[in-house]
Amino acid sequence: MSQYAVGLCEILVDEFFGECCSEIASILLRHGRMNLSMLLKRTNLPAPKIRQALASLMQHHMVSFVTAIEQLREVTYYEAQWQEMYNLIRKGKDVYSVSLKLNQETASIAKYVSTQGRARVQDVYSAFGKSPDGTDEESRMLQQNITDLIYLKYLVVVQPRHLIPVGDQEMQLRIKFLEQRKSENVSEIKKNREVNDSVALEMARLQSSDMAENQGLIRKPKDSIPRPAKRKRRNATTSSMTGDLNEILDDENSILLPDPAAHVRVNRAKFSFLARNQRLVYWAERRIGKTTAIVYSHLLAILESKFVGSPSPATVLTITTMELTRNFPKDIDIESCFAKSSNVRKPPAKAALDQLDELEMEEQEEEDEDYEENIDDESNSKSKVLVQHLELLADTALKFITRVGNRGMGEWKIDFAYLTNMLRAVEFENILDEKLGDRATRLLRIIKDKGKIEEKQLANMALLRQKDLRTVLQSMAEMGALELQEVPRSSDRAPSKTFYLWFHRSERAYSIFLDQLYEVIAKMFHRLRDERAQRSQLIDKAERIDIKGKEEEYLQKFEQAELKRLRSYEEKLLLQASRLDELILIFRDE
Amino acid sequence: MRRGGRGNVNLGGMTWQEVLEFNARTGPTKLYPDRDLPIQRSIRPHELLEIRFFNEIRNSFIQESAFYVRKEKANAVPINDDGLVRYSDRNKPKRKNENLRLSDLDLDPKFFPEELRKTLGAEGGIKKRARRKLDMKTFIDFTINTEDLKDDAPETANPTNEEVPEEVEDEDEDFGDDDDNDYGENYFDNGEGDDFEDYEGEDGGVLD
Repeated sequence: MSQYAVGLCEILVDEFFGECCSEIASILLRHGRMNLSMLLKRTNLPAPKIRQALASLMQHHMVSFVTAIEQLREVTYYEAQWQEMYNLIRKGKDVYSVSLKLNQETASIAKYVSTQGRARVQDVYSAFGKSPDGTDEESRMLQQNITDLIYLKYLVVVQPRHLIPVGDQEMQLRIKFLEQRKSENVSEIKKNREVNDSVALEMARLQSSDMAENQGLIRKPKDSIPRPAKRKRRNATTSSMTGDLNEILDDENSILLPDPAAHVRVNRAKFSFLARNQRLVYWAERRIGKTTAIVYSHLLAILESKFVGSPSPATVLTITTMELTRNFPKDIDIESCFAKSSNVRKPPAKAALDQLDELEMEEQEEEDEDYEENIDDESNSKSKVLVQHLELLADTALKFITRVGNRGMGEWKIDFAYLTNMLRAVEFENILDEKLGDRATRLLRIIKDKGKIEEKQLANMALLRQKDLRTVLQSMAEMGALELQEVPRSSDRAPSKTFYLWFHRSERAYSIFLDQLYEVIAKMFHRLRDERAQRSQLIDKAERIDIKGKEEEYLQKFEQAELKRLRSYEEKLLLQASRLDELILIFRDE
Repeated sequence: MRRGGRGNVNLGGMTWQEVLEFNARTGPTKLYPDRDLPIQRSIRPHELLEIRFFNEIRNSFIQESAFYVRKEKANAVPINDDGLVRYSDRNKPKRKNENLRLSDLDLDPKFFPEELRKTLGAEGGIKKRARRKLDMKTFIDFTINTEDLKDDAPETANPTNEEVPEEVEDEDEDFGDDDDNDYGENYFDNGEGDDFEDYEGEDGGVLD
């Protein structure tokens, strides 16, 4: 864990939780896990404050604990979770993602849960002034929103064991299983192996039960709840995804409701997954085109909803064209981007697009009349066009999607492990391009292709002079993108008698780059804190009760200008931090 | 003495000329070499919303939540850094969370270890005070004004241009900035060369 990441976490905790929590967090981050007495020794804070700070951080899952029995006493060790601390920076983005995917009310719920860290469903209801059994329209809508959030795993249920670090959970399971098998008369090795297997099985079972569909929801028979008539209207206007949701609920004879006693928190992993998909769509658009990128984004959206929760990188998801056709919105024009080879000379592209749009609208209107008879034809033709798009996606060098089979007009799979690596490589090349120019990117690609290569051969291959190469290679090495391998020809390693081979190690390059990103973001927050500190008097003045809200009356012109400048600095710094955070998401792949 | 020894000389593709030039370069490289600093791309609507939510959540942590743990307890009578109580203290913002403690939050003890449970408050103890109900519609604000999206480029670029030459100049010049108030000319009157006829304004009357 790099020092820059630690510095960044400290300053983030300071921004949100204050100085006490930040001190505790920094001690835990820098010195590893410790118990309360060790913490007391390292800090000047009084014990009650330490306990409060620990409890606050624990509520937000930034500190995990484990209670072990040592020497006949119970000792609790606390450990810092730096990924969770880093996630503070993303709180705004999560709320916005929820509002995009669902609706604005769900975003309010997500925002509330974000500020509480972890909330009981009951408390969510009461915070908005409603109760779980309320029957008025707003209560019902709140209930539906919460159900959606839990079902789609934007909010995930928390169990007490989630606060225990994974290693300790396994240790506890291992001890339990060893106890069970103590009396058996098998050899040590075999016993250990069996215990390891049981531990792994149990962990997998617990993990899958976390991701289970009905986690946090309880079933109630439909009839016990009075259903207002407005529900039907909601069915018609919601997007296809929640339309499916309602269908699921209506098919069976019961409704899923959120369990009031369950504790929920925002599921960050899902948002990382969504953000990564967005990035993939962006690259698809750059490589192929806008319409195909839209098709790809819908494909990914269907897979997201199929996959309740975030998939582990090892999973491979398949989808058939028929499914895509069924869920594809009807108002997107996907045909006009393909050039039809015909004898008629085509008018300019934009006019053609408009024309075809009009034609398609007219066609659709006509078709709506004899809807039942033509439905197969229309979806068939749509499928064919979709297949064309999907084949375009599959044929690129980046392999966004691959064809697996032929059922349902073509079965396609998306391999997320491969795509993650591919995304990192592409982004890294992009960054190298912006920093050092296209010569550097070209050289990087040649080196990656050839493995380990000497400067002379590289010059031949790249058609450049050696001395032109040298500066570029040197700057790339400073960035961490390249390394040198020495192969001595003589036994005394004279420089004139050794080969120097350049090669690229992607893992190392990405982790060096990640480190630099942490450093930059930490510096931005330091700068932000500094700018605020410079203007602390002004801020205090502006926050006075009699001035707040009436700044134009009470503050002088230069003070108002200064405040405005401060706001613009804040915006610029936070904006840049959030843009860099996108890169961190790609390279760290949580 | 010939560089590189007899016969095979590995200059790495450079000519003798270049080697000599390279060695002749004296002096350290610049601490801050010239660079083309890129300009930040202007803010998009979704980024504006994201930053707004981030700030709102952060403000709610700082001002309203019990999780913000302060080092010093706030007294009933506010005392400033220099130990004096002032009239203007009554205008200071009273943070809602100065008296909030974790026990007000009604957290579930099963998520916490034994030793922290007493910070969570006694069971069935003091009932938490009624919390402000959040209105679903106004809790979160999605409106975007077009002024927020516009680049403040001309306005903010100029201040930065002005600041740099100011720093180079004398420090005294900096104080000449506030022209709007009464203390313009008398800001830094350290008493040198004053006959009492020159005594214009209040000496040391600048409150800081």
